[in-house]
Formats: sequence, C-alpha cells, structure tokens
Amino acid sequence: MCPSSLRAKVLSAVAFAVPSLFALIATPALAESPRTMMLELHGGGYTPNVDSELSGATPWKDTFGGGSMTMLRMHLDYELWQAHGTLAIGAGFGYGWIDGNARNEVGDKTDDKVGFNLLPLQLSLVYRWDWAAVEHGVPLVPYGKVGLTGAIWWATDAKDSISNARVGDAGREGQGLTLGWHAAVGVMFLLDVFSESMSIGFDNESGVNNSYIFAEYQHTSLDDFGSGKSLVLSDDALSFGLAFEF
Amino acid sequence: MTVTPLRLLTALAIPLGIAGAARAAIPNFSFVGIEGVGTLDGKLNDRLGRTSNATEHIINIDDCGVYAGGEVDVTVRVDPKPTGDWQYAIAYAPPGKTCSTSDANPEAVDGQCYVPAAQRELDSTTIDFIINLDDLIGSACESGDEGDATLYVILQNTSLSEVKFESVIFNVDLGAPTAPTLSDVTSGDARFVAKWTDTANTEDGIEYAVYYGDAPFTKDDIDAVDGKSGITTKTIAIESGLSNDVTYYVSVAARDQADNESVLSNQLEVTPASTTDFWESYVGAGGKEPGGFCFIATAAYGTPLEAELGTLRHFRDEMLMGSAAGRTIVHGYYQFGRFWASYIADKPALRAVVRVLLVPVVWFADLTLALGPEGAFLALLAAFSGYRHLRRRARLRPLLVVQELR
Repeated sequence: MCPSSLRAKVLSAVAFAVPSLFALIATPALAESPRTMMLELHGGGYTPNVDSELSGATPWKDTFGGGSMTMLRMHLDYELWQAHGTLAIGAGFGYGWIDGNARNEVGDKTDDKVGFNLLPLQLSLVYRWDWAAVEHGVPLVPYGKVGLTGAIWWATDAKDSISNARVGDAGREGQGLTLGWHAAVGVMFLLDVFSESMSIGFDNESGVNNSYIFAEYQHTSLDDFGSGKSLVLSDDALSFGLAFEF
Repeated sequence: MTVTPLRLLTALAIPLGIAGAARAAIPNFSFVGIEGVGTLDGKLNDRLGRTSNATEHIINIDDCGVYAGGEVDVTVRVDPKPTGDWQYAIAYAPPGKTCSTSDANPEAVDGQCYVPAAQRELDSTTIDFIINLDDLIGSACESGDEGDATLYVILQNTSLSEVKFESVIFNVDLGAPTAPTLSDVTSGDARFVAKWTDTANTEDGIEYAVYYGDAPFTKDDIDAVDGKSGITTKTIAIESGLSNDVTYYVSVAARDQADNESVLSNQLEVTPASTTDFWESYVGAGGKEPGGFCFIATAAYGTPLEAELGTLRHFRDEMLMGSAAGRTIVHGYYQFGRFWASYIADKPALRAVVRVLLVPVVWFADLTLALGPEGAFLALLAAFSGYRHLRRRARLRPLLVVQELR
C-alpha cells in the first residue's frame, strides 16, 4: 500500500462522492419533495489520545507536537421516522492525517518527515429535533448521535512506507484497525431562512429540502473497547460543516 | 537536442507534403537499418536509430569518440520500385552543410557534400551504401557543436527528368550541458535528500543524475559509484542501499536528450543516521498494540506461521491491494473481521468450521497467485463449463436410455 497515493485516492473519493450522491439520489420536484436522507460534510481536527496508554512516554507529542490531525468526514443517513423530530440511521467515513518529524537518538527533531493516517468508519443512530424548524421555521436544530466506530490507521516512516518497528526478531507493522464507539451532540442552523425562494428552487432543481451549517462535538472512544492492547485513538473533537437534507 | 530550422522544416514538410517539385518524396521509401563496419561492427549505440523505420538518429559526444574513423553500412528500400528508368544517388552532408538534390549527381551547395553513389541504375528495391562517420559528424568531438547532418537518397527518372528525394536527419549533438549546483544534502534514516539548482540549462528534456559513494570521486569514477539517473526534478530522495553512520559524497550532473552528460557538480558530504518515527517510538515506549491485520484467518489458523495464512497475505498484498475493488474488499474485511476474530478465538469448534470454510478461499488465492487473475478466471470458467456439461449429460442419460428402449 502506498500511503501518499491512498491519501490522494481517499480525498478524490470524497470529492467525487459528494456531487455523485446528489446526482444519483436527489430528484427534481415541483412541490416540496419528501425528506428521506441527510448528507453531512465535516471538517475539523482530531488528536488521538495515544500517549494516554503509556506511562510518561509521549511518542505522539514528540513526533507530531501539539497540533491536531486534519479530519474530513462524510456522513449519510436514512430517515426512519419523522414526527416530533427525525430519527435516522446512517454511516460515514472520514480521513485524517498529520505529518511530523522523526527524532534522532538524542530526541532532537530531524528532517525525516513521518506521518499518521486515520480512516474512521462509523455507523450511527441519529436524532434531530427539527420539528420547530420544519413546522415553524425556527432555524436551529439540535441533534445527537450514537454509534460504533472502526478506524483503520497507519503510521508512515521517512520513506512514506508503513512503519515497521522491530522487537527482537519480530517486526510490528504500524497499521491496524481499532474499534470503539462514538457519541455526538450538535446544533444545525437552517440556511433556508436567508432566502426561502432560493431554498424552494434548490428543492425543485436538486431535491434538496433543507440546507444547514452545523457544529458538532463528538466523543470517540477508540481503544477496542478498553482491551488494553490497542492503540488508543480516542478523542473529543469539534467539527463544522454543511448538511443537506433531501 | 535542439530543434533546428532544417529539422523543423523537414518535420513539417514530410507530413504535409508541401515540398512541391523541389521536395518530391520517394514513394514506398523506407529506412531499413544501420550496421557498423569493421571496427564498429556491433559497436553502434541504439540512439543512432539502427533499426528498421527508425525516425530518430542521434550522435552524441560519447558516440563521436567511439565512432571516430569508422564507417557504417546504411540500407534503405524502395519497394516496389517506381516504373520506368530510374537512377539513384546517395549523398550526405555534415551539420550546417547541404547537397544539391536537383538530379542524381549531387554536389556540395556550400562546401561539403560526400557522394558514395551517383547516377547508379535503380535495379533493386534495396539500396546499400557506406557512410564515413567522421565526414557525417564534421566536427571534433570536443567542439561543442550541435546541428543536423543530412543523408540524401535521390531518384531521377532519366527519360522524364523527374527527380524525387528523401532526407534522413542525423542529430549531431557535441555540446554537453552545464553542471548544476548541488545546494543542499540532508541526512535521514538510511536515506538522504539532495537538492540542486540549474539556471544554465534551459533546453527541453534536461534530466539529472545523482552520484554518491563512500569516498570522494571524479567523473572518471562514476561507473564505480552508485547513482540514480533520469531525474526530472531538482530534488531527489535516495532511500535504498545506504547505511547509517557512513559518510557519503554526493554530486549531480545534468544530461540532455542526446544523453550528453555534464561534468559533475560540486560535491557535498552527508552521513545518514538512525531516526525514530512515531510507531517505533510508540513500540519502544512499551505500547501494546501489535499492529497488522488478518484477524479472522489468524484466529482460525491459530498461528500466523501457517502456510495458508501466508497465501492469504500474499493474495491480499499482490492481488487485492492492486485494485480499487480489491482494496474495498480488504477494507470491508478489516471493518468487520475483528468482531468475528475475537468471537471465534476461544471457540475451537467454531475455529475448525471457519478453517474449513476458508479452504476454498485459500484455493482460490493459490490459483490466482499461480495463474494471475485472468488465468484463474479462465480456469474457473472451464471448470464450471465442464461441471455443467457433465450435469447435462447426467440429466439426459435416462431420456436417451428410454429412447433406445423404444
């Protein structure tokens, strides 16, 4: 696996997937079309709490400093129930990356660029209290999510290959899958209030009923459910983005 | 190699057929090949364009030295021959000189034209002749000159005074590029990164070669040191064959399209040293994450040393990871595999079941690794077709027996 090309492919896939989803799923409508799905595009940071597993040692901080990973995510859910709010089940994936510098034998930063990449895959149950927004035009929609997360991760060395640490005669590959769960709360702001005619046109032309901007706070527990033998990739992270209901 | 006006005109004129009476092309003309004669037998470089229908013929500085005083045997073909009585002439001129093409008795237009054959009867479809390379090159190898030498093949119809000719261009490039300036070499873990500048070489197609060895070296030593050529950027990471704590001396050279290489740049020293990346640091600090994948198979087979597991890993790395669809399958397996792996790990009976279920998967992986994806597909298709054929025969057999009884 070539990490750089994988990164490019993941980003390309995200860029391709968004318009494709609209092209495939959204249908023009003259009256307001039925609401069935929500697509969320997230951007934010993520700082895996790797160092918490180790007593005193701080390999993450030593390598990547105090910065956080850049994390882009996409979430798509299907609305199961719409009454006093919307209950939906959805899935999403993301891609996060960070680059840092390897250390020399005395712990000083070197010119060798190394990295860490995270590909979280999520299944979520979502509840959005959008009754006030849909029925009365109140533009705020609080929501919550809970679900399972699996994250494929890989660490790269200075040659941009998967890092391999030798312990005795055995090598340990710097890649794997860590499982866990997540819970999130957030609030969405309905953009339709700025221009009702534009939102109606968007629905007629693309089938998008509502457009939102949102902020989401997500707790992710990624440590193989506390197995004690896993890379701890947990974090509490804030993300922002755009959402389209169609 | 630069684009000279003659080369440009020739390139434009041939496809457009715009030469008119003065540039009537020979119908059914083809270039057959060049072979060294005498001391040059087997010594010609491929860039001379030795093979049939070669369109690019280059002589660089190294070739000039090797070819000095030598001759080559050139063969062209006109097949089928034009009807009527035709004579042919062969002539060639060094860069900057031309031969007349008005009849089958060419002469120098501006001082130098060599004529191996003139006013010969065209009695064969193949024309074979000798060229003196010193005359074709026309300059001393160290002159730095560059230009296009021209080989003319002229046909003249003796009764109609009709003349047709073809020219074959030999790019004689005796100018080496200027050496770049090696500006920086930084060390890494069994690697280094070299950066250089080059403001002098502005022609198209310039490439670079980086040379490095564990002792200072000169241009004469580059065959004995390591190197990487064909570099089109001005920075390169050398990441194989290096040892930590060894001092390497690094130089860079520019190379033009004629494969002329500049003198070496300035030489810088670098000493790669061990570094620790995040994962090594994590493992070194006592991190317990084992890393790697293959959960279900490892759990089923019990130990990663099993041959079947090796097959599955090879299948993953060599087949699945090479395609987007394959990677999707692998990612799906990784997404859901660990749940199943942890579930079956302490259940020997279930492990045995999974192990049996994995047998066809391992067979398929073995087959694909042995025959390739296309071969495996064809083999499976053949097996399926054979199975259907046998099954059909088995179904029809009772009917045939009944018919025979009737």
